[in-house]
Amino acid sequence: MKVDQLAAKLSRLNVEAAEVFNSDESFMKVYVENDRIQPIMEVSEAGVGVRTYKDGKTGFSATNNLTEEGLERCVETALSVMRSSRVDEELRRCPIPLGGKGEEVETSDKGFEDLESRDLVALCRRVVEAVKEAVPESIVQFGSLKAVKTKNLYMNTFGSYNEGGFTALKYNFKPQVSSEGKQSEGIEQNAVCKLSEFNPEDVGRRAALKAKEMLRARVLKTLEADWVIAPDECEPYFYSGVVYHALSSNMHRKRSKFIDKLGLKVASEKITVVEDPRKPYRLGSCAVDGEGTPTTVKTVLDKGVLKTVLYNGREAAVDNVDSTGNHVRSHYGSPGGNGVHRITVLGGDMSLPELLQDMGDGYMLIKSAAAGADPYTGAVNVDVREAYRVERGEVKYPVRKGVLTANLNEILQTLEMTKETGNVYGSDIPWILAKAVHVAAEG
Amino acid sequence: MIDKLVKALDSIPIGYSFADVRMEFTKGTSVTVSNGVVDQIARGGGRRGVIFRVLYGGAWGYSSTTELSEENLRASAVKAFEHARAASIVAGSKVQLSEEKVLSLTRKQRVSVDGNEVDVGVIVADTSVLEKAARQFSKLIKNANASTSYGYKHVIYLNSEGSRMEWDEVRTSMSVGVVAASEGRMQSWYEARSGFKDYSMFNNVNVEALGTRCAENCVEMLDAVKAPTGSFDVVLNDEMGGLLAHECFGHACEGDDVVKGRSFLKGLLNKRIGSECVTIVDDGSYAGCNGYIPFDSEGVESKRNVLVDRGILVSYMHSRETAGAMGVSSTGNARAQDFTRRVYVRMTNTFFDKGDSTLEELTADVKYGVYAVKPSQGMEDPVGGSFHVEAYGGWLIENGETTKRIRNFTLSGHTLEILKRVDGCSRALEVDSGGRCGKGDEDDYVPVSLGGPDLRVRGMIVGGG
Repeated sequence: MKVDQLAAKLSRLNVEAAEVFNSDESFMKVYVENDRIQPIMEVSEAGVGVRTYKDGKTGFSATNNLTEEGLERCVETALSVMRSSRVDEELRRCPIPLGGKGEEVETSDKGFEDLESRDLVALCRRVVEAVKEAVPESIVQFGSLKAVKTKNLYMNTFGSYNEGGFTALKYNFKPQVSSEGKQSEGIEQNAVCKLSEFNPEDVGRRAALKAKEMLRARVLKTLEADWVIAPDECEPYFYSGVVYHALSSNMHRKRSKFIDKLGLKVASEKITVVEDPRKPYRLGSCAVDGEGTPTTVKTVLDKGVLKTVLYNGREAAVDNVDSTGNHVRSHYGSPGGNGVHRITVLGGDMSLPELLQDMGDGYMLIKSAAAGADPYTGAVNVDVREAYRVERGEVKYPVRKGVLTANLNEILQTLEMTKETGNVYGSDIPWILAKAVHVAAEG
Repeated sequence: MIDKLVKALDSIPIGYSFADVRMEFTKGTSVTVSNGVVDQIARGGGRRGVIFRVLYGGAWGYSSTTELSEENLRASAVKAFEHARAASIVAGSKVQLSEEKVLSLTRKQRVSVDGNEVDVGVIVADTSVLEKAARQFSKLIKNANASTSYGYKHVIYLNSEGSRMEWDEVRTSMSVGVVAASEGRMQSWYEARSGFKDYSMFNNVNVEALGTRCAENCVEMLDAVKAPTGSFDVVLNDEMGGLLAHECFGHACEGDDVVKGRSFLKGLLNKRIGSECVTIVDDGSYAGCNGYIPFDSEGVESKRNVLVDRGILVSYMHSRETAGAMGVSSTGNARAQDFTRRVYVRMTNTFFDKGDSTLEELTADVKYGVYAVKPSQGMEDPVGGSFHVEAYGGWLIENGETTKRIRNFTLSGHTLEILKRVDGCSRALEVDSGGRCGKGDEDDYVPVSLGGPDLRVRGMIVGGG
């Protein structure tokens, strides 16, 4: 049974609505271990997820057994789950949206079509060579390049039919440098949708120089200081502090700080957050969301004022409004849920050098052990891995070993930002200046 | 299916030194109930796939497929060979595997209650008991979110040396998370139980008490104060001790990082790295624990591996590749997330072994410090030797007594210093919760457990945000 035959079968079922989400992902991946380029890996997997709805009950099942028998069993399981489930009393109408035809957004690079493992190997070699050229004594202890091609197909019993997909090159390189019994590692990792956006020489050189630079890092002392924080590090702040609370699912479940705050100021007037799944060649961009609703550009926070609540089908059915196209689904095996695709954070008016000048004396955080913040308490506790001392706006020397402790709620009320942004796994995030941040250290 | 896999292995062109194939069939059921509403409900219709590995000229090639026709399986096996051959041209030093016993074993799991056969309505009802107990504890609880999941995996493993194994993995987990709010402040907490157990686990846990305890902790945390910042004595409960064993020490003890020179433990075998109180174990054969595995992803039987014996580093964890590089045998720690991911050296159930103190004795001797109780997350730095583990909360210890509750804080330090500062472990050993551990650039996840005794460290960096 083909997937479109499956859709025909669904339309004949005795349900109010049903949908099929089919993803077909393949990837090639090349690793580097201690300068050795191996293993080489190739993987492909296709599967379908089926959701059904009737009389207030929802069912879901998924399989990668795409034979007629496998698909039949999947549909039967979804129906059986639906029958055994409990009525969702909150719903005021069907949670599977009507959907529609999404306007195309370019997310697949043709360069991936003919890409072979030897091409990835060649790119990896260029990174390793760049590392060696920048810092001859360095060793690439870990590295990987992964080329992903994904095709999605969404259909429902209301007639919505959309095909989509994306390409991505994910990279992660960690060269190490040793000297006088000390070791340090430089990390370069990110993902781009277009092959031409990946510059192996830049990646290799940057990672190697970071590793070398951190060898001369001084140990941090317990202190309070201003910190300029890199886009990779502060990206989770905008998710935990803003986007998480703008999701209708979190509002309905009373775990959002933005309940009843639509139209009110919830953060510094310097922050504008836009949910933009329409930006071409960015990870997260898509024509329709995970349940077939066409995506749009939405301002979530406009100069600190909450402008949009983000809905998927189920949450929109609770409030009897339309979905904003915010159902996120990464894999056929999961029904997905209310979420964001990618964000752009705007608002700053300074360049990075100007932001450093504005700070004067302080520190610059480039990499921590695990960036993040607690969405409820706002606690930020991160172990510093790569940071620099800044004096009178000038970067002076690297520092290490210390836990940066701050509160996200305070940061979001008092921060300064750059106008320039960095691409962090698809999102556009500025550098920020956080004031009076504590550091716990042994020094 | 075994015949098809054997034929596929046989179709690999000559010249390779080793090949194996792993087929997995998984099926699971999961339910989430949030504030009385069924938030997510799913039962898998079955996921299956095969991954071939070929070692040629000292380099690995992998190929994975979900299309299981004989023709396609052969093509996939040959593709793994071709990738290995291509890698062997550019790879430098060569992979050599340790010699292991050729096994022909089947390890079926006895399942008394199959969670995939239980009516989903029953699982919804069970999950709701947990959710309701937490939600109704107090009006300050704004959200209660309970989840139950049951997973079954059947594995077939064959290799070119003649090993042929089949086994099952069965895991059940239940968790509850709550959010409390009062006067503009919010706080979260969770409780979880998981194990290599069938769905009858639900009958052996006091689900209502688990939900109530979760809510009670969360409400109490609303009045918690900020943790002190600086270096203090720290007592860690079983779960936090488990996280410390895992993040502070475990990752650096994984043989692949040691072989690559990416671990601060390289060159320290048979040397003292901790106090006499420190014995650390990784035990993949610990029955019932979440990280239990009958065999690893290379068909090596799991076992109890003592890594640190009374302060002396006595073993690393190994796959056949890292064991081969160091001239020892595999410890059964080669694990892959699933049939789409590679094999790495991974932990299973990793914990400090028990000592002879009690929790009261450990705290009684602390003048000013913290008692850390609920793990949030952690991260290792195998290269630099530092780590950090984050707690949802704990208590301040003043003059040997736990006094004020303190909220989210981080513990960090340098492993080789911290392990020498451990001066006591309790006699109680609890390893009944677990989660997933990520590794690699994409966080390949495998189930592990979290637990151990309570333990005391004289001086860790504490940072409260």
